[in-house]
Amino acid sequence: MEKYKTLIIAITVIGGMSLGFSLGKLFIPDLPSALVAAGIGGSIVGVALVITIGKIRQKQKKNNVPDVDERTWSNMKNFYAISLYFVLFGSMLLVCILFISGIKTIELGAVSIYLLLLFMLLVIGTHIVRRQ
Amino acid sequence: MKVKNRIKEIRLQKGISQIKMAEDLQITRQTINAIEKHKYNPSLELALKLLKYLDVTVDELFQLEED
Repeated sequence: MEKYKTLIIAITVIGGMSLGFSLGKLFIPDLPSALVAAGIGGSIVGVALVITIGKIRQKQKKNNVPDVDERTWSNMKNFYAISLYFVLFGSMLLVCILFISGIKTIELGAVSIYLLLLFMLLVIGTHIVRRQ
Repeated sequence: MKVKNRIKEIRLQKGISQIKMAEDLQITRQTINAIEKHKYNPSLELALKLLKYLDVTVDELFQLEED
């Protein structure tokens, strides 16, 4: 099972992305085919890049010490628990500030950028916590 | 009450490096450092692995420090 772990993750990610884009095309027929192809192609390239970097790092390692262990998981759990409060209260605060400022509607694009920023911050935070 | 351990002392007595111990126990070197500096208490599983690896009893390795 351990042997095929990378392959299973790759198939799951690429399969999931392909299925998502195909369903998107099915529900929104006006969606450009080029966008669907770019999405699927991008997921394949992204997964291949991550796997390649992982393999190169594995080969460059001089010892058999694992990258993560029980303390790393515990640190990550604490980080996500704290982040959850920041995300929830931060988002609520942001909504309150926007409402007080007189903004009654938010464009979906702005919400997408906000979520993207949150994900980026969480990924950066996870990397920092993992290395501690 | 704080848990104190003698891992560093026993490890050095046996001439084992942190890297060697990390490889043998499949944990990171940072975790060994954190345990030795009493900044992190290992799980029961890891504590039992440490006892077996260093060939010592619980009392020899861990002590509960009274307030």
